[in-house]
Amino acid sequence: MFQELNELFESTTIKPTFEKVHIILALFIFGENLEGIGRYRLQKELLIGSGTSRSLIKKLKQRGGFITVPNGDAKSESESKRKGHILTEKGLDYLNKIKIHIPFLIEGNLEILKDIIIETNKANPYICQVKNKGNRITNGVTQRDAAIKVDGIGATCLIYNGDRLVFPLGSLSDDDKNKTEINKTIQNYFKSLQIKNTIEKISLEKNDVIIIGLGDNTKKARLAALNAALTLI
Amino acid sequence: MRIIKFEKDIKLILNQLLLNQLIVCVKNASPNEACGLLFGEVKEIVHNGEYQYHFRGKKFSCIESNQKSPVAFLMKNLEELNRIFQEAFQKDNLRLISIFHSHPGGTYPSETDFTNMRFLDNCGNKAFKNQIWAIMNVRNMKLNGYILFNNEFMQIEVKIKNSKT
Ligand SMILES: [Zn+2]
Repeated sequence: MFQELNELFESTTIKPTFEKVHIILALFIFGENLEGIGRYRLQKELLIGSGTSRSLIKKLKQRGGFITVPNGDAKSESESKRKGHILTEKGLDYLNKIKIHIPFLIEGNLEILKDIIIETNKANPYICQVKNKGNRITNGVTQRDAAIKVDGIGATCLIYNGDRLVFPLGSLSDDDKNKTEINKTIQNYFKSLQIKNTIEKISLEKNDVIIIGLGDNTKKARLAALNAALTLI
Repeated sequence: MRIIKFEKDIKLILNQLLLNQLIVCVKNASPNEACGLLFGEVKEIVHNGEYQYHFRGKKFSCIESNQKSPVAFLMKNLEELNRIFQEAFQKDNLRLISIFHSHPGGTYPSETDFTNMRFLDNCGNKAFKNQIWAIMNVRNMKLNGYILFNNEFMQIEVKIKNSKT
């Protein structure tokens, strides 16, 4: 579904070194910071270098038309720099289109989740939901690989079967076999998760996927969860 | 994520020029993963009574491809890997020492990488045994190396030399 993003990678000179995951996460972050967010902050959130952040913003602005400087008539360059960038209407539309597939991306509670994740040592969980893609998961290796490739520790996928969350059928290693049943506390935890900045609770439907990305810090965990999610879309 | 030990007595040694070629390969492949092969020689060295294995890179060949993950593609086409290896051996008398690829944000091998390392070690072609899997992080161009040695996965030392040798 991300064909529109392809032109952000086109370049006549040096190819950008950001990935699709950085573009999507940037849009999520702009969506959470409607008052504007600057290049430096974006760089820290996405764990990218300053050059990559600069080129990402440039592409999102000029090629994509997804972001803009608020009040284009800011008096000075420093004023517009301070305010950073905000989503344009086109950017917001596109983010809403993404959210049809990935409705939310939020920090998870390790205390509650520790029973279903293998590496709890120093791991921070970040959770995202992917709508109606449970059938695309075979054993979860592709999703874990995607998490590791962006410097995450791993990713655990759960599928909603219409009644409760279960592990994907092909994923049951010896480690997992003892814990195929996901306990009630965790089930309830997911069902009552609240979407950031809203009073909306998540809505789980049959074939939805919950991905728990793990990282040695929350920013890495967020990239891990989202990159794992993108393997399904 | 499995925890693997660091083996300092196995080293992948590259000069700066070769490292630059790896970086160019990564930049050209973006946003796909890069993939390439390092050719060179393996020297057994006795250092303070301990054996060390030095994998010295002499030549790099970047595999241009439009695959999202060309290394996975290569593992499915071992004849192609064999052809490239034979060519380097006949032309420059160099052996294949390392399979190189990039990750968008880290250097740690994925589960599939570990599976492929084992697969290559067991594929029956001796030339593919004990390859160093060199992985570069696109974010900072840091390079790390991993090997399956005596049936154990290890991280090895990567040394970049300034001289041409
Ligand atoms: Zn890999």
